[in-house]
Amino acid sequence: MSSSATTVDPAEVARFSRLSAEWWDPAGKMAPLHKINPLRLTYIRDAACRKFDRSARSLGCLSGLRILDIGCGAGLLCEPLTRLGAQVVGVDPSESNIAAAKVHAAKSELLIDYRCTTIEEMNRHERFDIVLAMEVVEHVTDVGAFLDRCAAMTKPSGFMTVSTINRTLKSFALAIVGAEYVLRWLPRGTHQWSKFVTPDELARHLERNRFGITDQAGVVYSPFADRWSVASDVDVNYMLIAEAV
Amino acid sequence: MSDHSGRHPVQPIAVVGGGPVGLAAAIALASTGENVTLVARKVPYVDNRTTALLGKSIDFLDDIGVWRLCADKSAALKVMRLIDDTGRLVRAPEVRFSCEEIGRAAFGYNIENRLLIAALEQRASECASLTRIDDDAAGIIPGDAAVNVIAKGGQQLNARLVVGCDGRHSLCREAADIAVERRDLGQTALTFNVSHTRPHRDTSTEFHTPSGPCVFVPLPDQRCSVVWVSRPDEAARLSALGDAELGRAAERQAHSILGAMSVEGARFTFPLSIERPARLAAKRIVLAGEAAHVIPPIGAQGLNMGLRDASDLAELVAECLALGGDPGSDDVLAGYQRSRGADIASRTFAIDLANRSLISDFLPVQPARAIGLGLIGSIGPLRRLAMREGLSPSWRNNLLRMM
Ligand SMILES: Cc1cc2nc3c(=O)[nH]c(=O)nc-3n(C[C@H](O)[C@H](O)[C@H](O)COP(=O)(O)OP(=O)(O)OC[C@H]3O[C@@H](n4cnc5c(N)ncnc54)[C@H](O)[C@@H]3O)c2cc1C
Repeated sequence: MSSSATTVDPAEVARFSRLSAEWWDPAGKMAPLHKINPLRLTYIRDAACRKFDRSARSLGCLSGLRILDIGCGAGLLCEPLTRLGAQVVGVDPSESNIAAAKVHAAKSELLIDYRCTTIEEMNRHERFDIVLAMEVVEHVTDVGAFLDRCAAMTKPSGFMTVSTINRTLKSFALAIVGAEYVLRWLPRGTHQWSKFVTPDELARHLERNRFGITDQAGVVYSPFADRWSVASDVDVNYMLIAEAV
Repeated sequence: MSDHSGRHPVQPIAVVGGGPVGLAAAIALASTGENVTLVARKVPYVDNRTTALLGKSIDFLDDIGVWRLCADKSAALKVMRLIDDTGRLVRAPEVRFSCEEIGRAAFGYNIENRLLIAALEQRASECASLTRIDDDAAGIIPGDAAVNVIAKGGQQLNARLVVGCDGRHSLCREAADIAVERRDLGQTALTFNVSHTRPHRDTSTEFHTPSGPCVFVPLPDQRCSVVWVSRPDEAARLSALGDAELGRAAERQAHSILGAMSVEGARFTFPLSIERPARLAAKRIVLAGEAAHVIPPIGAQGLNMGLRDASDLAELVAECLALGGDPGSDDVLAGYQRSRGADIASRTFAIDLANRSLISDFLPVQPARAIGLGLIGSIGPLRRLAMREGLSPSWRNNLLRMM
C-alpha cells in the first residue's frame, strides 16, 4: 500500500498487513474458515434472495441491503457481501482484527464500515435488513441478552442468520477433541463445550423476541474429501435463519 | 511488491491477446455480466490454418453465441481414417472411425481460423460488458491486490485477474514468473488448402509417414485443408514448389483418394515444438491457449484444449463472482490449476508420444504401434471408447497410448 497518511506508525501498519495476510491466506491458519466460507455465503445469499425476491444469479444480487456482521474478523464475509452489492457494517471487539480488515478492504477497494465495538455498545436504534451472528454465540457470556440485541436491530422485514456449534456428545468429540486437539485447526481452548448452544435454546431466546426459526441446516465435514457441505444433521455445526413472526 | 491500484481504477478482469482463445475467453467471461477488458490489437488473420473443432468445443462456442455465426462456413467431419504410410516392415492396418458408431451426427467441424476469428470478433463486439483496448500489452506488473497492465500506446488499467492468452511468447507468463520448458521437434508443418476432383465424403484422412503425419481435413464443397508435417528441409522444399507441382505432390501423398488437387492461395510453415509451463497460474495471472500449452498438430487437439481452458476458467470465475469473491484470488487460481492441469499435461504427453512413435525408426516401437492401431480398429468397444475419448477429456489414456 502506498499509504500517504503520515500519522500512522509504519510498524503498526506492517503488523496489521501481516495479520490481514494471515487471515486471508486460504492455505494458512484460517484455512478451515476459508473452506467453510463458500457454504456460509451461499446460505446467506440464498436466504436473502428468497426473502427480498432477488435472483441469486445476477451480479449485485444484494444491492441496497444493509447487513451487520457481528464478529467480522478480518472481513472474510464482509468483502464478498459488499461485492454482491450490500452495505456492510462489520463489528469486532478486537482492534487488530478491525485494523487488518481495513487494510484488506482498502486493497480490495471496497467501502465497508468497520467498527471496533460490540453489539451491546452499538447505538440501539440502528437497523439492518440482515444481522449475521456467525460463530459468535458460543463465545458470548449471555446468549439471551446477545440475541435480544440482534433481534432488536433486525428490521421487521429482515432476518437474522446464526451459525454455531450444538451442545452434544458428538460436538464435544468433533469440535473440541477433533478440531482443537487432533486436527489442530484451532488453538486449544478456543471453545468451551458448556458454552455451546442447542437449537432449542436458540429458539427459546428468539421466541421471546417474537422471532421464529424459518430454516435450519447442518454443516458437516467429510474428512476424506476435505470438504464441508450442508446436511440435515445439526448435531455439530448448524446454521439457521430467524425472522420476525 | 509494487501496488499500482491507487493510480488507475481497478477492473475485475482483463484478457490479454486476441487470438481465438483470447476472444473466446473474453466473451465467455463477459457473459457472467462482469466487466471484462480485452487488450488485443485488431489485426486481420494472416495464415491459412484451419481448426477441427471437436465435441465439447462446439457446445462451448454454441453457449457463448459464436457457433451460430459460423456454423454454415464449416465442414462436418463424419469419418476419420488413419493410414500407415511408413513403408516399414510392420505396418499398422488402416483404422477407420465413423461418427455413427457413437451415435453422433459428426465428430466435429473443420473451419478456417480466419472465419472462426471473424465470428468471435463479431460476437465480442456485441457484448455489452466487454471493453476493447485495441493495442498490444507492453507491460504486465503483478501487484498484491491487482495487476497493472500497460498498453503500448500508454493506456493503463489494473485488473484483479489477468488472463494471458498471448500465445507462445507470452508476456503474461513472463510477468507471472512462470518458467517454460521448450523442446523443438525438428519438424515443420506446411499448411495449405486445396480443391480436389473427387468428393471427400466428410472424411478426414491422416497418412502416417516416417517424417510425420500428413492430414487432409474436409472444408466446405470439394475442398480440404492440408497439414503436412515433415523434416524442415523437406517442408522448405515442398513450400517452394509451384502450385501445380505442390498439387501433384499432395495428390501422390494422398494416393489419389481425392483425385487431382489444385492449391488455393498461399502456404505457411510452422516449426513444431512442445512447450510446457511449470504451472498455469500465479500472481493473479492465469494462462490459456498456447501460452499454456504448445503441442504438434496431431489429432487436432491444440485449440480444442485452449477452448476448454476458456470454458473452465469462465465457469470458475462465474462461481467465484456469484459468491462475491475476488476473481484473481488464490482460490480461483488453484481451482484453474486443478481443473486444467491434468488434462493439459496428459494430452501433451500423449501427443508427444504419438508423434515420437510415428517418426521412430526404432523397430520395437513399430509393431507396438501397429498392434495398437490394429486392436483399436478391430475391437468395437475399444473403437468407440477411443472415438468418444478423442472428442472430450482423456483419449490420452487410450488411443494414443496404444499408438
Ligand atoms: C499447422 C497447425 C495446425 C493446427 N490445427 C489445429 C486443429 O486442427 N485443431 C486444433 O484444435 N488446433 C490446431 N492447431 C493449434 C491451434 O492453431 C492453436 O492452439 C491456436 O491457434 C492457439 O490460439 P491462441 O489464441 O492460444 O494463440 P494465438 O493464435 O497465437 O494468439 C495469440 C494472440 O495474442 C496476441 N499477443 C501476443 N502478445 C501480445 C501482447 N503483448 N499484447 C496483446 N496481444 C498479444 C497475438 O497477436 C495473437 O493474436 C494447429 C496448429 C498448427 C501450427
